[in-house]
Amino acid sequence: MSDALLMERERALEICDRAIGASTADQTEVNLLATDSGLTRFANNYIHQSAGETNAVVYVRAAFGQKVGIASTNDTSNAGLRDVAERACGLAQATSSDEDFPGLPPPGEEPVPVRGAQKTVEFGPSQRADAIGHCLAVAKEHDQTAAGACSADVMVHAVANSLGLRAYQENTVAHMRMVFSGEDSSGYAEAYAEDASELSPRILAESAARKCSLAAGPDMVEPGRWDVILEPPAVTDAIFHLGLFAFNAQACLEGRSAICGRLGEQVCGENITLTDAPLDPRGIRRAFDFEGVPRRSVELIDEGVAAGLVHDRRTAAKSGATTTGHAGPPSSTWGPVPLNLFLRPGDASVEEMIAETERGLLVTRFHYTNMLDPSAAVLTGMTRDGTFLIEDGEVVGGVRNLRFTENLLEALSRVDMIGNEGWLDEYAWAPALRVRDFRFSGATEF
Amino acid sequence: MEELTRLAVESAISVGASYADARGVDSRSERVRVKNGSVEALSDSRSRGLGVRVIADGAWGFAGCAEPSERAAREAADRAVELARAAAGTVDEPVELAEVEPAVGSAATEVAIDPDDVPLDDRLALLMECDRLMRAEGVEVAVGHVSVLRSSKHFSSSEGASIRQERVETGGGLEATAVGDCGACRRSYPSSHGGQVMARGWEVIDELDMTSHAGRTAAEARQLVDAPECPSGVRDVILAGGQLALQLHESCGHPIELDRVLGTEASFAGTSFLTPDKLGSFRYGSDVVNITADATIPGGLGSFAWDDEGVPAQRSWIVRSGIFTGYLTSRETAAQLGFERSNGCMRADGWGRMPLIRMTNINLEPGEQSREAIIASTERGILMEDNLSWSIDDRRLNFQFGCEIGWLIEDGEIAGMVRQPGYTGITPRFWRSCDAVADAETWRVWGVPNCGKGEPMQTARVGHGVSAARFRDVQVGVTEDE
Repeated sequence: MSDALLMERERALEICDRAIGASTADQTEVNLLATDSGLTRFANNYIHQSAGETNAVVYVRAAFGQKVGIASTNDTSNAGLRDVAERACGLAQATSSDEDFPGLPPPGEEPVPVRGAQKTVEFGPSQRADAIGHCLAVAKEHDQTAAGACSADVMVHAVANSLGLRAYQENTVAHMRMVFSGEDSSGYAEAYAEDASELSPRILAESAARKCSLAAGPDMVEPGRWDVILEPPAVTDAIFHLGLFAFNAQACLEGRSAICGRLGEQVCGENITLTDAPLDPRGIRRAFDFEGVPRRSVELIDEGVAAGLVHDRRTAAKSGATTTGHAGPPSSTWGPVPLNLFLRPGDASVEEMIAETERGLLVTRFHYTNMLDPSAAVLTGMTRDGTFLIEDGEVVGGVRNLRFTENLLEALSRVDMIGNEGWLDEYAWAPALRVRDFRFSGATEF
Repeated sequence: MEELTRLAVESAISVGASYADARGVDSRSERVRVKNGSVEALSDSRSRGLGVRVIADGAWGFAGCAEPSERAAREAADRAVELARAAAGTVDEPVELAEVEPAVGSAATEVAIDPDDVPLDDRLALLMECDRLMRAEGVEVAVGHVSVLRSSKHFSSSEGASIRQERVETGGGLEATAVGDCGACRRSYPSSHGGQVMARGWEVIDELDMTSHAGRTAAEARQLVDAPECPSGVRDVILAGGQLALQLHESCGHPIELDRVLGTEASFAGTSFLTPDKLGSFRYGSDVVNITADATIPGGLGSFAWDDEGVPAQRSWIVRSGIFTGYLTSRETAAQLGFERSNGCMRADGWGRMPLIRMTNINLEPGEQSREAIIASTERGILMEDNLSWSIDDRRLNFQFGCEIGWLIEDGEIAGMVRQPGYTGITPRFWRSCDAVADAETWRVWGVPNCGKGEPMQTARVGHGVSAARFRDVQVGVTEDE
């Protein structure tokens, strides 16, 4: 009997092989992404969306010399696979050369086997409704209104190419987010895990309720430079953008990254070490990329020094480096992106950071962050769901939300306390940070 | 797909759903992207499947499946009912839907030049020529792209609707990036965020005339790296084209989505400051601000014949003479606010996602002055074009935008270029400061093909009709300490 959660290795690679077999190209690569997703959303203290989706998408990249075509389908029948291979070959034969196409990777080191959690497969509509039920009960106990989402995704990713490379993994991701609202405040909690049994909905709900209560009756504070304690969800948001825009080798090659020409230089404080660690068990593990290359752990910032970039085969060939196994989906043009970021923790608790802050702000999370100037790593965004004033080492109450506009590398040069516990979102794990003179550029009305 | 949608609906009703609808969707997306003389991406993506939405025991359930078979259609219907029943225990008020006359019909995009008649060779030749012209201006990165999306959709409902819609969308654009001591500067044509996309055929690309604009686009990128930074302070701002479209999108389009207003996006995208108590009386903008939602504009990316609840496309007022007068609705949210009908804004991203309230074409109706007259009557201002970055709070009040290029205006004349201008404001104060909207001469419908919303994330393709508009006393230059 199979122990596969969604699709066995043999079945997944057999689909890839059938597409390769239908291709007439010099080189052919096939990615299979099969998913079974369940999502339950709630708001106003009831479930308003309960959904499920199953799909399996096959991407074929066909190359005749330097001429490359990509086609995809979600028809995995023999006819569907023949059609997608023919379309990819047809495009490749008709196109001009892609001078930067480095060819497909030969078989090499086998990716480390990754398997998701059975508990997440079993986290179906009723189980998700039960988890949400705990959350709604806590919200009602506090006379608050709950909104959020609870999901369970099972994904198979297989890659095969005509040179003999084979890669397969089966992932699971369970997720729960909640925002509790009171009359003039809100509080937030969220968790990601490979195993749904680790989500702890009641503990999350108590945390969101506490934040919402504490933030009630917010005062308005003036924007400007503030000492700030960024809780882990704000930090993961910021470092994800840093990874996306700055440590992407393609952005560096094209002169768009704040790290351009600065590898080996001190770019932020010596207390900052940022690593992309795809197989760290604290994260959502990803064993290989969309070229089937095992993802390597890459030190991006080592004690404040810009230490490395993530590469795919294209950027590696252009810069004389080796791929780190960070290629994106076949038709993506964004370049390689680190998806398993870890910021090295320190030795302070958030309580200690608060106690040692004379006057500052405690930020739960950010909203709608976006790079205003990628060349300088200037990020903007809003605070939301729990922003608090600290005076004389104590949280004295909620404040209305603020807009920040800040150079991330400069901000990371002004970190003087680092949390001793981390928190995971889908793509990054980080502790809390205390940042001196963090720049808030505007305020809002709630 | 028609038979499968009917079968799925019947199957859902037979296992206890009180309402069911099903959408069968078959879509194909072709994309060509040339960068620095190489074909960086050439793709042809197909996807087909069935989405079944039900109300059972008073709650919603939705299931999507890729396999186009009778067995899969029945299984999806069963799963949707199971999902609804799992949710029902938390629901105090059963879902109610505003009435709609069940439609039976079909519609297709009007296409002057079928994209299938334009061979890949011609598409590549166009992009390669644009690439050559841009790189001749000395930019580090030159990108040109064209795309064609086709979809065939059949909608059936347990109320008797049976609707077929065939759709073609075509788009393209250019991007040039120059690098200097200040970093990288980008210019786009005709707009950032995908160029221009419309629900039309290849005539969209012909009308863009990209080869005539490639050199200027790249030259501006090159000039930007040596241009001065945008000054900080309070100035009048004129927004044009794609930037005004995005300003409208973020600060009007999203806050009028009635699902957001009623809280169902609260934990993710957020809610809205435009609460129901404001409907009909709140001063959203100045008297010259007139905003419509119009899904009937020929060729608009947010146009269609029926939405994904089978509600016919409509034009409705959102802001009239500055007063907030309307929302974008679904059948459910329309009923919740006591409206007789939905104004037809429910759309799903493909077959596998549940429809949500999405923008159609949200338009700032044209004013009376020419764009030139507005510039000529501006003493000290900045004209900003084409979006570079965007951010807005979770009630859609505090926004901050960065643009690709700015033009200083002194005493009614363009006085020079500034690099990466930014501005910030609070939505109703900003729109109340609008004292001029340019006339129909420069008014056009911009396609925004990447509007994200919902969980799992759904990407909608929407439109915005705009010309240019002036806003008084705006905070500009947002990266420096005051």
